[in-house]
Amino acid sequence: MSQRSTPLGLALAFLGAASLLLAVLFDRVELLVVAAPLLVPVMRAGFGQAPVRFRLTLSLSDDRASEGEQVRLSMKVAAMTDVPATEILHELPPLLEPVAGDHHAVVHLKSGETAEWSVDLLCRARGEVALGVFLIRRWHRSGAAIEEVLHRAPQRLKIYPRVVPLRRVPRPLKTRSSFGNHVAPKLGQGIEPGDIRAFAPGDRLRQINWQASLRFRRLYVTQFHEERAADIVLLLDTAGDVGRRPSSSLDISVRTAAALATAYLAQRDRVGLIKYSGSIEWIRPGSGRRQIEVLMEALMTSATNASYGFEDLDFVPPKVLPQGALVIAMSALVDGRFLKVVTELRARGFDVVLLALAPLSLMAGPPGPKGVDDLARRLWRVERQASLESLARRGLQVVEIEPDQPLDGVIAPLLRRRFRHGVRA
Amino acid sequence: MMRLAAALSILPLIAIPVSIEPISPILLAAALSAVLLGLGVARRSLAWLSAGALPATANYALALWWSAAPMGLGAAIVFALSLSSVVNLVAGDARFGAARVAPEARTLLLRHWLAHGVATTFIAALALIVAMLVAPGLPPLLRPVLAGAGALLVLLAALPTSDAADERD
Repeated sequence: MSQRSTPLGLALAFLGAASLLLAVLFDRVELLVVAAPLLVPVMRAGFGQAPVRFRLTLSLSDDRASEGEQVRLSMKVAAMTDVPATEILHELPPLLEPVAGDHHAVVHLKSGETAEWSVDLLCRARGEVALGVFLIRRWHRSGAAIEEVLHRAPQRLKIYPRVVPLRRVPRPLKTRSSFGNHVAPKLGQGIEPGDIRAFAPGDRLRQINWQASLRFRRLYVTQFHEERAADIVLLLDTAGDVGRRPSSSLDISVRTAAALATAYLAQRDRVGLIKYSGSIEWIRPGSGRRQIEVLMEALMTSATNASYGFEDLDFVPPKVLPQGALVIAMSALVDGRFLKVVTELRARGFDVVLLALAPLSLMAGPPGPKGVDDLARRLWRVERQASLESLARRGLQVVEIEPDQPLDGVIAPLLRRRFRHGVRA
Repeated sequence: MMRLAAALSILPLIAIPVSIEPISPILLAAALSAVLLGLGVARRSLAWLSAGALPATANYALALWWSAAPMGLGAAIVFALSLSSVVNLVAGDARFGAARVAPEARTLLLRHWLAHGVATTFIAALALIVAMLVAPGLPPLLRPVLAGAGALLVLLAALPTSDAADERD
């Protein structure tokens, strides 16, 4: 426990000393009376107080939450001895914002008494936060000094990215051999009618297309498209981040990835994740509820990684990046290495969709002359537009996202474009 | 409430020097200290408050010196209590502003500040009176010795009895 003077102690010492000096200078004893109540508390504060003993416990209403949700943090002090005025402050990480209640209390308890209080916390942004760091401050009764100690009762809170439900998601051009919800070009068992052909021995009677058979006076059967699952790889740019949390470009990309992963997994597709920051982190494609958990954990902890290296995705094993997978890349395109990576993926024959977040609206204007700022922004916009057009020419499907745009609205043009593309094929 | 009490405590700090010697330098200094003290109370800032309390105290000393008035312990006690209160109340207001404070804690600390301030002021005044009554009858060599013993007595009275560290679970 460390002891130090308070601003009150310093103010009292300063004014007391000034009064004494004035008493001597002006030869007036009245100023000694003025100095006395100022200096005596300062002298008293130099000495400690009687020991106290108490138990401090912390409980959390839930150790998992999503962005925008609230959790309740309850604190309880049980005094084992008398606990005179003691200030208890629970330090809050910046990801949490108090909305109701107190995380800062001054308790005064007799032996055996307890005090409880709670605070409702709004989870502002995703991440894993450490709770339970208390600053306990015991004020000397004079107020001129305090004794402080840092107490830890560790608790962890996981804040997952908010998942926006999506009605439709971009359709992969290639599918896998396992069953799923995507209509595959291959004909076989399914419910989506594909083509008709002449009846052949072995065909089931229920497959006969009676309308066509009556018209052509010969038996025809209906063929159906198979319904297959697909591999989806979400490629997240963690090399750069623009804007402030919880609305930075990486936060928006992570929310988009979480929504897409949830929607694809609900369709029984396999979804994997690659985080690219010059170096590579990945999660193999998988399906089912467990995969949602794994992906959400990985997305929750996504953070920028300052790296000057450049690892090519050639090093990524085919099990992580399967041939024919639909790669959905999310980036603010502030790092040239990511552009190179998506271009190379397209060159290797992957079906690549790039969701390019517009970073300009996330940025606060830099200090400086407004004209220069505007010019810099215009130049940046032009350069960015040129690089987006260059990517589109190389066969990537590029959609620019504005930060406030609803995700369904972002996906919509992509659905139309891919549908037309499919018809042409 | 604490801020209102602190604002009221400023009044004697301004009024006492002006009532002792109502001349323009004293009035000017009183106005300056009133502004600074007001800012200190409004902003819950001990720095502003100290910056205002210093000219107020100097103004009081100047007024006493200028008027060459006989010793007035009544005004000195009021001035001392006001100064001590305003500093403690602003500090308390700043300290508890954003916290959930148990009423018992607030009462305890306020009671302690006020009681301690009043007791110390009156003891100091009483000690002065006793010293002035006793001093003329004492041999000149004994006076500083007695003054030192008195100061030591006040210091000892101010010291607490126990000293130990906290324990927590």
